[in-house]
Amino acid sequence: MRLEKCWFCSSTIYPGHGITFVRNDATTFKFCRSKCHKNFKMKRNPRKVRWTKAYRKLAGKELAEDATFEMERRRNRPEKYDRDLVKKTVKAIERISEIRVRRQERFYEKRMAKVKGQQVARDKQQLEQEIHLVKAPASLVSDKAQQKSKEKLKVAVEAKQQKQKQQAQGADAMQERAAVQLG
Amino acid sequence: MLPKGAFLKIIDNSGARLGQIIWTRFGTAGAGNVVKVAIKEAKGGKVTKGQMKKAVVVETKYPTRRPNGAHYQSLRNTAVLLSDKGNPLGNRLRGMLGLEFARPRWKRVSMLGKRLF
Repeated sequence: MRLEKCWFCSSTIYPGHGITFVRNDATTFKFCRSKCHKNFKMKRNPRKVRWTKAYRKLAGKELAEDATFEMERRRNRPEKYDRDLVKKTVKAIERISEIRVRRQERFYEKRMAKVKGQQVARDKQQLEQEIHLVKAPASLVSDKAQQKSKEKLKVAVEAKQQKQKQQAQGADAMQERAAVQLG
Repeated sequence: MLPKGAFLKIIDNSGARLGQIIWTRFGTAGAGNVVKVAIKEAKGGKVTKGQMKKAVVVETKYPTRRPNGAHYQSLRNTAVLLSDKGNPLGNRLRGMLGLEFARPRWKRVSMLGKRLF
């Protein structure tokens, strides 16, 4: 049993899936599903079709060159069965895929790190320019008026509280003076 | 999935170019099945137009299924001419043979080709 790679999208082809196309010059093309097969028949170039690994690696969106990729090579010579070798190989496969995934995620994070600041600026701009999609402009105006009146109220309330405080302080001061005079 | 009346391209050097199926054992023929063929086009070689010969289907446009579940298909329908005993008439092949020809029955045919895929 051998896990092949799809010629178009580079995903693994498990046994029983997909179709192999043999051209007249004896070159074989393996496809993982009819989507890839149909794209091939349309003569599309996988390097230009955006969802394929070929495009992503070429456009620098994914980790393209790494030592972990070299480990997974096609070997045509069958190995004599050795239980220890199989055990070690399975362990190695797990460890290597762990490392590969970690490196791929790091690559993605590095690529996306610059985008966060841009995203915040973009969100702000959107909020300022496209708020009409969420709220009608007329209601926005009335909202603003409401807010203004609220602020006015707030300011008035605060002023009143201050005045009351001062009066209370003044009253206390007068009481103290009165007490001192009496005493 | 080739029925009676289908045209097959003959890919050996027996001289025939095109053969039309006149008999199949099971109604439709796939890769590795023997059919009887009437030769429609021939150029030189040991065979002439109008003869009826046996042939074995090598490639089909309809996907051939392998016991492991894999399917493979070709761009054209091809066959190799056989004698009445089942030995190939030509001595060279132009095309690829599938693993269906790895059996001892097709030993002589597979020896004409390069390798089985």
